[in-house]
Amino acid sequence: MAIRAEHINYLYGEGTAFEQYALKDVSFEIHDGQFIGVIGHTGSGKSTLIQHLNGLLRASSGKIYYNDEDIYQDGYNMKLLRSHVGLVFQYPEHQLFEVDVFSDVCFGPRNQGYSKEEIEQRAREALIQVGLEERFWRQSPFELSGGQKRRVAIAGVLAMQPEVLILDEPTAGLDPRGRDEILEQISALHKEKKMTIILVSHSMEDIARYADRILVMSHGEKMFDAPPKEVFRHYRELEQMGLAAPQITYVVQRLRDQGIPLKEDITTVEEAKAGILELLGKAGGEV
Amino acid sequence: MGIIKASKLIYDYIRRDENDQVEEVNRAIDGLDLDIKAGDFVAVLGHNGSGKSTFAKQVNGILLPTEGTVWISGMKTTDESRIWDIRKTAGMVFQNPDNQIIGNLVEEDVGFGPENLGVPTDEIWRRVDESLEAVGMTAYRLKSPNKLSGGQKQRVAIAGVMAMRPQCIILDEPTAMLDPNGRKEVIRTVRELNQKEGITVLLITHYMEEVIWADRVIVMDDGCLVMDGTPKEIFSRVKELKNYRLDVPQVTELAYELKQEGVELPDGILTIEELIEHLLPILQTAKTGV
Repeated sequence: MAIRAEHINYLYGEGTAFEQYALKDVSFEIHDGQFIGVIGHTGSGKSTLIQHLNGLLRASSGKIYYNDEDIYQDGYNMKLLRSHVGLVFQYPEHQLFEVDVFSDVCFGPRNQGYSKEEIEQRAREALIQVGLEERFWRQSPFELSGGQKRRVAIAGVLAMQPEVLILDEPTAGLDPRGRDEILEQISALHKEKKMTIILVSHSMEDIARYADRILVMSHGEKMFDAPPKEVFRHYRELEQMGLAAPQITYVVQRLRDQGIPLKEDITTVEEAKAGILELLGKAGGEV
Repeated sequence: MGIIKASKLIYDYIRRDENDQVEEVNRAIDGLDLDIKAGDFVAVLGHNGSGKSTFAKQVNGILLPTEGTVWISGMKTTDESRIWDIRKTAGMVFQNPDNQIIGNLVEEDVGFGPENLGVPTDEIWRRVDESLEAVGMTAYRLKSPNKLSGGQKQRVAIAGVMAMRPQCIILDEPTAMLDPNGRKEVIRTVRELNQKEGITVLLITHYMEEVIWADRVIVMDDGCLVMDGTPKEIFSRVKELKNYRLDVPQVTELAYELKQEGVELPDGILTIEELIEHLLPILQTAKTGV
């Protein structure tokens, strides 16, 4: 087991007139190798929640366990936790600062105290994992495109070889191809390296496509914790929370309302295509 | 000539070394010709680095052409004496609402623009009222912008631009950081301003679903205009769009995929309603086995 959160509360301005819950009695377990999607309206507590998972924020009450160890116990090695649980912030490219791409990616493992060879080896691997070609490695990160910078920033976290990778809106502001490329690379880390992934996103379509399980946050509380098909079936409730289901879900629901026997839990274009072709008795109906 | 016109527009980002010698030239816009009619809702698509944002910054004179000309309402952007008129005519809204909000209260934030233009106080308040009304944020006028959701902040930013009474609003990925509801709010607001107030809208976005409401869609690639048409025309060309690193809305993609398999659907389906309208009879016929 990777992460277990038990009854986490997080209060802003505790003890003042402005006291406000940012997280309220949130509990969940995340197992090794899962791909978790986190969705919620702006201000729902998503970002606050993920910053608890590597100890950047400390819960006002409640407990968090990493591999069954209480991270709030005396003497717990937070620094080690942060190298196991890597966090990629929103717009991480704003945090690039080194003279060239390669040095920037070396920053994390260097702080972990590895030898020069080990640092460089890790940086090379990380840059290859995010698919950034070698010709960019000696360039200033500031000369790269938005999508490339984003990859450098993700490589910077990967170079610390985390067991769990948390990404807060990693595709915001990227063009559709850039978005697909980054998500495919994250998916590859999940499949090939068995990395546990926690992806925060406002794109229901992306979450439907990649996550095995979704945590839905609203006003600091966990509202749903289930596989995408299960969660998107509650699209009316999601809308109440400022969210939505993927566009395809609406198409399928409308057809079902008209008596077309499509499966209720369709959430992607591929599934809808297969379902419709099957009804039409056409070949190629399988996914 | 339309409200925005570019002729043979070229823009180079030039990097110089310490001795002011040119080290590298990066051409962001490469011979762009474009004429935008007043009152149109124009969406601009293109991958990161295609020149969209550079073009947006040309429209209100934040950047000036390396070669060629840009006119706003007939004013050349290179005419320094008109720069304030140009910025009053064409207002900009950027991606991150937190970088554009400065007031302690919503109403102060909206009044900031006209105040800077030297508008008399009574007139400022009148404009603040109208602008907040136009974006549906009147109820929040005495709130702190910090307490608003992303979509609400973006609407305040739009009101701030509206208070300068522009004829044209340029929005550079205004919804990139918003949740689904915030995105809907902002797009609804922009459409209303376009339809009710006749404001010309230039919307830059990576969300294909936001484009379907536009009168016209233009696609940029490598600093050039490569596609230009109605949303229906543009989204009929699925393969071409994918070559430009773009995408189509999920319904359009589903319709296209089904069509490839021989299902008889028209090209360029954009909305859920359209798809249902065409697909339902086909499925019903199949069901009854006719």
